[in-house]
Amino acid sequence: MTETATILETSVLEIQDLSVSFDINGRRVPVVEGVSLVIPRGKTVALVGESGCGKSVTALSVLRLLPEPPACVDSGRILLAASTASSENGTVDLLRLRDAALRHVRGARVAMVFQEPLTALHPVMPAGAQIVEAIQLHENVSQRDAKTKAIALLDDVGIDKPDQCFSAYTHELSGGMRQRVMIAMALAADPEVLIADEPTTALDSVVQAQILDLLAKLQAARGLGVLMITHDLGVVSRVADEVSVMYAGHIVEHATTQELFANPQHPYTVGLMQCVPRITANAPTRLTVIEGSVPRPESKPAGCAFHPRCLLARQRASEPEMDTIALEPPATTSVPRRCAQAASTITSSGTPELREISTGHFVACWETADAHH
Amino acid sequence: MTRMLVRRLLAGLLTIACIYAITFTMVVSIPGNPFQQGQHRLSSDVESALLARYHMDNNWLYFWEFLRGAVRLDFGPTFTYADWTCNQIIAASLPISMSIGLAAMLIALMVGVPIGVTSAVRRHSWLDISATTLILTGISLPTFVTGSALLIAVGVKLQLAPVGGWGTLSHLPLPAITLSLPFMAYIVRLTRAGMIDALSADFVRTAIAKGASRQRVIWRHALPVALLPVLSFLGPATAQAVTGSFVVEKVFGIPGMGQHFVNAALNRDPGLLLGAVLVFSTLLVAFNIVVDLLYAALDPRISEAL
Amino acid sequence: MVRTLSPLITLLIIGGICWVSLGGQESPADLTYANPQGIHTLDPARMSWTSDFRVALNLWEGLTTWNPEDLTPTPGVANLPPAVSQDGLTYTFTLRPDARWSNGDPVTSADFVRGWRRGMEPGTGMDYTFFLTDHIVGAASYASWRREAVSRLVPMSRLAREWEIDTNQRRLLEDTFGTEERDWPRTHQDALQRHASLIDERFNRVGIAAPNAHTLVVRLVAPCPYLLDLLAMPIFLPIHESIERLRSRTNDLPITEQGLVTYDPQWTKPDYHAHGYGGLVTNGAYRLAGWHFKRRLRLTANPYFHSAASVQCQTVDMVVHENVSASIMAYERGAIDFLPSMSVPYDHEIAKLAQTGARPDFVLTNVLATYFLNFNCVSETVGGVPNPFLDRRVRKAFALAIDKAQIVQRVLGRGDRTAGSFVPPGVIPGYEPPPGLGHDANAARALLAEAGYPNGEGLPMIDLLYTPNDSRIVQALAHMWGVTLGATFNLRGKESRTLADDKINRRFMIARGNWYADYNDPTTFLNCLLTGNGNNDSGYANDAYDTILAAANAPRDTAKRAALLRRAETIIVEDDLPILPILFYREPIALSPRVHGLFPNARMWFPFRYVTVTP
Repeated sequence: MTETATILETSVLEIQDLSVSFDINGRRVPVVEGVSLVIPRGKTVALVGESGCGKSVTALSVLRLLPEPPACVDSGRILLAASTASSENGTVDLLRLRDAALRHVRGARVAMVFQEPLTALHPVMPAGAQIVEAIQLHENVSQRDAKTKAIALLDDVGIDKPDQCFSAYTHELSGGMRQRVMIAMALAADPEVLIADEPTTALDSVVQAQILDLLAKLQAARGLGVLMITHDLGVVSRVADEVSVMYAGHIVEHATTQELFANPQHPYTVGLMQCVPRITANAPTRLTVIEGSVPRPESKPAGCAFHPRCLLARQRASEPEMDTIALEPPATTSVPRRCAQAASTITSSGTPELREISTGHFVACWETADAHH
Repeated sequence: MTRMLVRRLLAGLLTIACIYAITFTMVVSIPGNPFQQGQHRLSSDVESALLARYHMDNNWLYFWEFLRGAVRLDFGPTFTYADWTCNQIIAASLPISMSIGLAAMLIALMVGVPIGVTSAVRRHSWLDISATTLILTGISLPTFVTGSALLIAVGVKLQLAPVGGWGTLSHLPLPAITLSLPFMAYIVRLTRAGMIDALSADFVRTAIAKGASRQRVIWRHALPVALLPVLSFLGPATAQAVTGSFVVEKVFGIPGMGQHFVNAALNRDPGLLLGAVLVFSTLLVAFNIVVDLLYAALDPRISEAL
Repeated sequence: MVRTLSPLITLLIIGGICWVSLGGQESPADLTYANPQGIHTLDPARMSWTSDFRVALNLWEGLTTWNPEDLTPTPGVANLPPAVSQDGLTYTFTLRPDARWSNGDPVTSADFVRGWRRGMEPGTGMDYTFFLTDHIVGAASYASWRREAVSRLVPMSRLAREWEIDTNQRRLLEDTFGTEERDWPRTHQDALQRHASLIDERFNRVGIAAPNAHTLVVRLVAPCPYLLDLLAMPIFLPIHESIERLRSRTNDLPITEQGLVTYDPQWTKPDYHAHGYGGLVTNGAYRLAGWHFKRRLRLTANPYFHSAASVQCQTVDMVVHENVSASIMAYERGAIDFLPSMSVPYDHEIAKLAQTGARPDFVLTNVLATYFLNFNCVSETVGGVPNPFLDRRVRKAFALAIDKAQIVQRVLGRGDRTAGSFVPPGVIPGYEPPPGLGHDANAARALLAEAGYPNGEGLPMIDLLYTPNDSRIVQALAHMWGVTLGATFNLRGKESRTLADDKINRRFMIARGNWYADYNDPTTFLNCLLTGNGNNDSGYANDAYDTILAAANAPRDTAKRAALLRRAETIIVEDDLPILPILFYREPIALSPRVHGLFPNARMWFPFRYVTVTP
């Protein structure tokens, strides 16, 4: 490394200005642009957004699990804090590690839990064998010791009969048990960071709650830093300490969970909150939606990516002064002038930057930025 | 598991019985006299006496007599080679065909699977393209072409192997290689397709996330799953290879079982023909059952479904 | 555990099977030759293939044998010449005292009687029974008496088992025993016993006698000028007495329940030891050392052979190569020393190499065999279509219309000779066949018009039966006939067994045929066209012809006899044309220059006792 990477002392993993693009039909399309995240030690950071916003891509980039030919990391750094236990000095940039070194990180220092455990676990290997493999890849222990540890792990994750589960095959287990096995497997080599990619999406709500509680318990017990990817605000409220909201490849808001729920600033976040159905006495006849849909990465609007759906933008423009902005030819779109103006003068990419509007609360929006100036 | 085994065995027996009945009907319907050997015509009373002696004067009688003998593994006399019994002939030729067939399948697997894996892992590389060309050639070229070419190239020009016949270990490689090529081609194709599917599956991603090396992921995670379709191909393929490829035996002059099918039919030799057909169908059924069992043993998802 | 062990187990199983199939290894033999087919049988009474004769006549020796160079009969076990009675009907043979079996036992005349008897029995004798029944006094009546008894005993044995019998069998029993079923011999056993008690006594009436161990007396029905040649054939070979241990018995009676005399077919194996049998015992220059089915048959020199000291070639291997091209390649590599058959699709190239002398080890041999076409001379219609070949003018026209030289040289090009006669010329000493008809298109057309089909009008579509090997010849012939005579054809190519079936049932107008001589006399060919002969596919029936052939048996003077036979043959090949001879076979053999003592000859007779092989 030529530069010295800086990382907060309290954080265990930092994603700095990550940009990932995909090669779609010969064109390079940016999918994640300038995303930064900090995972403090012992805390859970949630990354929220709709499907297609790039949150899974962000998560997969940490361990470089994206298939390289279509995907390409354009820029950024992913820094892992110096390990207290190992002999490595200093932080490492995961994006620049060689394969052999990366393999030492995967599983042993940063582990991942995936969304659909039925397909994510090996269909023909017994559950126990998969956990034992996770152990033996990083520790030099005998088969018997690994088996003992695996059974202990299965017990830790709340499985009733760990011996039976050890020899069971993936398809013989229930959804909840599979996810527990996946978590056990992830924790087998005592990692410091756990990335959970929508771990409860495939489960029913009762089991969901159990798994989330389990994760919280394990985090507390082992001091893990957890990056929780989810689209469900309910999950966020239950487990996350900090939240980043992601839209169309950008982080649009970041705050502590309490602050975000109490005081959402970005129009998108506001919209998300409103979308959550609430049981009230006077239930509205229709659910609130955010009009429009998430733009495809190839056809992102210029300027603020959210503005075509932004209620604020439409409200503030009394006489909408629309400018026509040329997108990638031959497409064009009409935008309120203020958003377009801002686009040309502030940053070269045209998207609003994250500004700290209050302690620890960042928003990327022209409207709110203006309001607070 | 035992339930499945019993069911399969019963189904297999039924299959063999049907095959016997159909073959028998065909055998007794074709014109021609099994006793006529050379250019001289046999007198009719000698012929009828011989037919009576071998219970062949009445078709129903022969049907049951032969079946009774077959169950005791005695296929009776053969008329083309009068000094031998069908049992002796089958006992002499079956091990030969089996050794060539098994050796061929072994070669096909040991060469075909790595090629399939490598070509799936390095898709569109020159290795993959040459492997695909090999597949196409292996399936398209008939065995008498490849066999004769090998015989001439290796046996005659290079003098590295004997020119046909059987008796020493050096007689084994050429026919085994020739026989293995079409099977190898299919195995490469199946392995390649299975590997491509397996490598794009989620569990491969999980394995990488665990820190497994690329090699480990390919050979210990993806390959076992990719090989399952190969396994189900192996069953009937091995049976086919083992009961003698007539063409390979003809080209290399090997006294295996394949020729008996054809020659017995041409010579109107009912005992040998029925014996050969019964042996073949039993082997085929047996191999299929074995493969089913193996499949169930290796893929736990299947035994659930049974 | 299963996972790691199973490859090992698989390898072990494969290895085991390979080991079993390979069997023992043997050192190379002095002489190795290849045969395109396996040996069908080594039972001398049953065999009919030349390749089987070749092995049998090296294992056994008959009363006579043949000179390897000129095929004249020479002494075998018997001293020559035998004592012949004035009328030429009784031959007395004296056996040489030093003739021995391969286990040391002396060869006696009883052994010959045993062998000849097997040749006549309906259970053991097959194609060549007629050698015995045609010539030896009482043989024909004995054989037919036996056959009749068997044809009665067959349905009786079935009734005894309460199986069905068909109407013909029922009628036979009624004819013999009367219509009351319960009058039929009470038990099948009774009938068997009664018959068995009569067999030996009946056989004693046959004209074969062994007054003492060294003398054999044979009484003939009619003088047979070629008897000594005939006696070398396998059906006249002696059989060792140990075979009696393997005789099929029914409750102590030495016959099967159908009344047949049969033996365990395993008696020809060198290592078969059931019932105290000691393995095959033979009296020729060689004994059978080993026989792997369709792989290899090994002969080793018989130490008890009377001329064992002169036998230089100690071991002979016969290997089976069904792929003749591969056997030629093996010959080129030196793995095989001698190829008696080189029948491959590129035989014209081999013929050229042989004829130009470019390959002196390839020898084109005149074989005593003819390829010809049969005309259906009997059926009025074939498949509903009227058969034009009932008229001999049509047959003669067809014979004149073809140019055989074209076929032999251009179409086949493998060195055969064109055939005008049925009997090949220049092979049988003392006999010159007639020249036959040549190629005369005009005469052909005239004859055809005379028969009522001018320019081929009115000729039905002609049904021509052939095997796939003949397709080139047949197409050329059909073309020639079409051009010259205006004939049209339905060419039916059939596999040989199906074709044989069609021939027997006369479902043809023209059918291919060939004939390999059984012995060195014109009658082997000419007898085929006798009325009612089993091999008379054309159905030709001509009393005059039959009479001449019968008359040819009488004269002891070879010239007179030859003239009579020639006259008979002229009727066939120039007047009536029931068959149309096309060509005489010439077959190439490959003989390594290291091999001395094997001489190409028309009978493909190759005694190995005279062979020396230089390394």
